Amino acid sequence: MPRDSRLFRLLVRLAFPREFRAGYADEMSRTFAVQHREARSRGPRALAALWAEMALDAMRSGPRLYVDQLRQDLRQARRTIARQPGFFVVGSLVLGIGIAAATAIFSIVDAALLRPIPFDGPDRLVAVREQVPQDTRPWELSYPAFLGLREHATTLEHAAASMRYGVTLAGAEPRLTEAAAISSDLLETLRVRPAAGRRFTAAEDIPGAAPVILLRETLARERFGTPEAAVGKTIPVDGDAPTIVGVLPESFRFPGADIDVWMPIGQLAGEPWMRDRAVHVALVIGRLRPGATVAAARAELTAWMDAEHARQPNADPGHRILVRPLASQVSAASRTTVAALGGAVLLLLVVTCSSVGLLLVTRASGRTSEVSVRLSLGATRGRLTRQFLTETACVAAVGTAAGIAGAMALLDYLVHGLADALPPFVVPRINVAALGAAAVTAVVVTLVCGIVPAAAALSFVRIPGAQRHRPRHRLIAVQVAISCVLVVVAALLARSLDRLLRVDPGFRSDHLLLIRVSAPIASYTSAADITRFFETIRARVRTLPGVVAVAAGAPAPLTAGSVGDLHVEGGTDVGGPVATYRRVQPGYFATLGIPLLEGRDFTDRDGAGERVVIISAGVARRFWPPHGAIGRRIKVGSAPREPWLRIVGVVGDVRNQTLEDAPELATYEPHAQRPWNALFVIVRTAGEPTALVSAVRRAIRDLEPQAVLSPPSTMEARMAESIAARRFYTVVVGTFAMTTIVLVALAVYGALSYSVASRRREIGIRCAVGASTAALRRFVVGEGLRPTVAGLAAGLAGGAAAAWFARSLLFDIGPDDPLTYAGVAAFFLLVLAAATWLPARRAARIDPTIALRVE
Amino acid sequence: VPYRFDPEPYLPLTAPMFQLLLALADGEKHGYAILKEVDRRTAGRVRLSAGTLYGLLKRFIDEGLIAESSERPDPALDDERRRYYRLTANGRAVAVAEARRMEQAVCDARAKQLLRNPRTS
Repeated sequence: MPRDSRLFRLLVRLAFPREFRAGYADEMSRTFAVQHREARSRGPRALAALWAEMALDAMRSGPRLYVDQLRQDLRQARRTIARQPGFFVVGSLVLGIGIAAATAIFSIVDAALLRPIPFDGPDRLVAVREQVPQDTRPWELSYPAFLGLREHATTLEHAAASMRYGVTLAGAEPRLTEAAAISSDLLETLRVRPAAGRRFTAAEDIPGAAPVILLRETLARERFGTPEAAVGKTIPVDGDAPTIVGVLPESFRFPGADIDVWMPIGQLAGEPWMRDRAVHVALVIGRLRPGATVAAARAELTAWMDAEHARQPNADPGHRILVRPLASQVSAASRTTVAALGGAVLLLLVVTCSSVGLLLVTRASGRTSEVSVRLSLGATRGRLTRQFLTETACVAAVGTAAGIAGAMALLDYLVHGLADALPPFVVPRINVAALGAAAVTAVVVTLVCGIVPAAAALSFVRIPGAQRHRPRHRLIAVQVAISCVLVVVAALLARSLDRLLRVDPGFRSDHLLLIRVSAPIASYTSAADITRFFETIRARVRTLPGVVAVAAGAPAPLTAGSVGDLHVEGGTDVGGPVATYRRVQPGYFATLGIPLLEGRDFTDRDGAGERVVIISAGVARRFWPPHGAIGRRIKVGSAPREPWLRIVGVVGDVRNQTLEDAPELATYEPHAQRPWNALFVIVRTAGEPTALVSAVRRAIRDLEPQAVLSPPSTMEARMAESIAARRFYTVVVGTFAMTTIVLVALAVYGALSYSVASRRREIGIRCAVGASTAALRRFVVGEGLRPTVAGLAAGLAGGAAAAWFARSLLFDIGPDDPLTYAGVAAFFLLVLAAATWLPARRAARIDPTIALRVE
Repeated sequence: VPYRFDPEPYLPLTAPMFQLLLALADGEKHGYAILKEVDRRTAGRVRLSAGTLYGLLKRFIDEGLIAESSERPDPALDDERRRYYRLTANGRAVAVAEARRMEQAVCDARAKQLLRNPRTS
């Protein structure tokens, strides 16, 4: 029997909550003993039945008692929360802000940095590029280089090329759409199946083959109803009518997120520029053969390129082949941006969580009397700890729910703002990992912030005294430090943005309207036709009221231009610097406000006769002494075949590509000399540029109804767009930083107010023995600032480290800019002094007679 | 406003709950006695095991339907460690309300000829 009795006690211990056992375990044992005696007298079968019943009963009623207990805790928590709803709302809100920001940013970090690329066997995919001596950024391969590579690479199972370009999709309103030319094996390489129809065949991927096309699913649905219905139909593209052989799923975003149609790249291979080894257009990806490594592929392709150089010494000297996993194609800058946002949000999360913790600690210390009353009435410490934890869990649960809801709203905003910084195939959405992160955060907050105040409140009963403020002071110091890190980075980013906004782009950006116009290829076949088309546009638009000047050119400023090697007559034939080339009409420089420094502008006579060029001041400085450039001859592009161009003018340097990059070496040819069929018509207006949109469009449409017009934009909008991503992450980090400052200020204010309130007697005595109000104020302010000084010092150091990591995001300012650090320190002291001022004033107004009487 | 206890939120009771309240209706009992009485009265149809019984007792005590009795019947006859339980006025109200509810259900069943009328003797 004693053995059975022990066994029963063990069963009770395993199945029932401690609190219940404390009240009823003995009773249950006694009842069991009686039942056991009876059962034994009836034989072993009755005994076995009794044990079975006991086990079953324990399994049934044990969990029910745990649920009852939880329900009771929740009821208690609800009562406490109802008594002080402000605490609960503020706590949940602060936590919700942190979790919303964290979930949204973690979703992006996860999609951009952690998630494998969305193709089958992602770790076997590589991107092949070239590193060239003239540029820090890697270049794509030329199409001939791709063909050679595909033939020779044995480490690659498949190699495929793709190239982006724009096509005109005819319809009621012809529209420009993003297209990609791809080699027939691209989909095979990425292992992507069409949603309907089939992939391209090798026979379709050669010049002269019947035109075929693949559509994006949305476009197919829009035009034909279903993907299946589209297959076999034709669609008018660029004056041609290719047959739709397949429809690609919506999720396929390669080589860009906005591609609507794909065509075989081989059909373009007859074009002269596609045969040119100096034209680097093909984004090449490959799939490693089983057993092959990235290093092996790199070694093989490097050897192949060396052999190519030996065969053709003039082609691509100094170019190195780059083979990298496709997954690492997120650019270093994007990686830094995303990582910086991830880091910033992590800091924000720590501050919000510790703010909630601080709130709980402060509140717990206000409940010492409640705790001691309940302890003396027989509540166990375990019971009270559970109570505190339940209350914290309520805050965490509501905060998390609010956070997830907020994250959904925030994510849209963030993805929109970061569109340029993210790789195309990244589709950030609130994912399980991010939800997990939020949930883990909530649990950690519950445990850490719930146990700390519980422990604090319970230990207060035993150790009252000055030490009780210590955990709070430490938390405040940590918060100040973290907030300071964020503020330093935010300040540096803001100053970068400010400097960027003041950068002189080299042209006057106000009052400029831009519309990209394409002449329909079918009707404008000769160079003369195209030249006449754009000249007529210029003549007609110039006569419109409100137009100050007009000229067309391409690419527009702040658009990545075409680049080629620059060669100077009499110089070496290989390895020249890289220069951009643009084709512009006469009057282009005057319209944009680019100063003509030497020589002359183009005239209507340029284009016939000797080939001419205008260069930027940077080119002139690089090759000739002052005033030595006019009359010299240069070539831009692959050296041997390009014609010589005579320099007739020198214009000011322009930040043509981005505002952040230094002005590049630029060359301009008259459009009439070698016309392109698409140009930006650039109009300088007397008033608001957008007011002229319809007049300009009408003038062009009247001339040619089939012309394709892009949506109009203003130069100021383009400039804003070019820095939109930077502005965006600066605003995000800045918002995080400001949020932490507000939280820190509130924390300091709250802690000090509490400290003043609980030390009325001490302050009263100081006052009674003759301390002046000024001295009292100084005393309290000092009390408030003391714990923050260490935090501030640590924060400035941490800020310097963070700024060093994020230095690639800074523009024209060093991560160690002393003015920024001094400013941040002064700003913090100001904010903290302001936060301590109110409690200090309250302390100074304490009437000693009342304060002493209260105690 | 005088406080009036409303038994409605406690209804319906499960069979073990009702039997427990019923067992205490005619006087206070200790745990084992409750077990025996329910077993005997229901002829084994409702089995209250120790865990269920004490779980319910704790819950009803927390809710004020049952109270621990301070009086002992006869110290000579009793193990003094034993705890006795009695029905409170609220507990009685809940038991009565549950019995009425069941009575009403039986009436309804009779009206629909689901059950025959009780024999009048």
